[in-house]
Amino acid sequence: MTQSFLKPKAEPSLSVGSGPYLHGRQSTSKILWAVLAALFPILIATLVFSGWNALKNYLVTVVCALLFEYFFEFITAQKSRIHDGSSILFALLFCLLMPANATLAQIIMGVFVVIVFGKELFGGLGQHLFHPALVGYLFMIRAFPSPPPMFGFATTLLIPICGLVLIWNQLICWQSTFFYLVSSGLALYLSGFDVPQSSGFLMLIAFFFITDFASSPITQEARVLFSTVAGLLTAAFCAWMNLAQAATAAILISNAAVPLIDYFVYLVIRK
Amino acid sequence: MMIIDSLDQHFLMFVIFVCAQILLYEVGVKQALQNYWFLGLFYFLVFSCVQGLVIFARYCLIPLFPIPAVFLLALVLLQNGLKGAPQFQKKSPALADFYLFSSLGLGLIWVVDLSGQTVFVASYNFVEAFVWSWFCAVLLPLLAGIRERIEFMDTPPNIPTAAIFLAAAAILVLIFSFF
Repeated sequence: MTQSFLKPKAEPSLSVGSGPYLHGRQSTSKILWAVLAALFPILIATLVFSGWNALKNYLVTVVCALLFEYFFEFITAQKSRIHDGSSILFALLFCLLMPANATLAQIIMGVFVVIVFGKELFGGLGQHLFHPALVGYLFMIRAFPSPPPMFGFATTLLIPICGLVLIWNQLICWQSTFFYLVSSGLALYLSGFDVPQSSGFLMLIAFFFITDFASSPITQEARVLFSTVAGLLTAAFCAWMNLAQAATAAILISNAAVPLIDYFVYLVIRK
Repeated sequence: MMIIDSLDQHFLMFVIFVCAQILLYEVGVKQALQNYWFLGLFYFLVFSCVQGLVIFARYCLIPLFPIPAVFLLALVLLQNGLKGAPQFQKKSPALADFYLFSSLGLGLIWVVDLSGQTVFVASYNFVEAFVWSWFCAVLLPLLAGIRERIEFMDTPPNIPTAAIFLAAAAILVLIFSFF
């Protein structure tokens, strides 16, 4: 085996001071449950418009998400983390992207990909590289033809209201939402795309997907760059695919580029 | 568009090659970015060599299959010369192995790609080759960043990080399969 020439010469020393440390009242689990609470009105609205089929999908999604997470952590001999609400949140976000007439087998398969390949394989909550719900959705649209998502135009009015509540409570980063909406909206408008028609999907992405902390860069400047790049890529990809596919591909590619964006912004700030 | 068609056909092969390169040489973001411009130009040079060899072989009616072998032999011979080059001596003699690996993988991919086409209606032109080369060069820092981040994660203890890295690369392949 060749000696690695690319390794840094000396590892930087990490110094950790002794406690006591400052503690806030906020915790990751609390934030996730709050985001779930903000998602709740949108889920109720989809029930009104999509009927009992949607309710069945949601129930199966939640049960499967908890089961898959529990079994994965059991098999890999890890401490159970099902109480933090992350698996329910990601699974419900995935279910919201799926059509109301999706079969139970499709939902179960998708939730398996969301929990195992999207989240748990990378170490669980706060560790995932790609947004788990979008990984599941990507798998489903590659495996099956992609009909429109479950939420309709009426529910799109609820998304910004729920999202603004999250921003007001400082649970999500407003810069990510703002720069994603501005960059994608402007680029789509300039390319002659029907922006009002697609505003629902864009807002769902902007408020609930691009704001995911684990798959976003660390610093605020990097997040602005990340969301702008994701927005521009969304508009650019619309030349090859529909908006749902374009937004999914754009955000996942931006997720993959997060370490590069972080490093680039670190270099710029250091200068 | 030829570039897009080629991406569709050979992207998986290329990602496997870059993943192997990253795992073998433990490439990090910083190092990948430091080598970015040089690597892009190097890929372009390799592409031009392969393109030239294929056209020459077809013009002279030489069968195409020995070309990867000739290419491999030339690079192995060249490798010793590369190790002695001042730039490689200054950084590391192992850098020559790294570029040999790159050129082998890319050379093989391009030979496979070009072998189904006629000589004088070469689908690749100068601009397309240039775009391909820089796109290939971008994938290295992208995947190197992912590998580096996975190293710092609290991944499941009984799953090797290389397997998790390959799963992440598979997701990336799935994304690019849209094109």
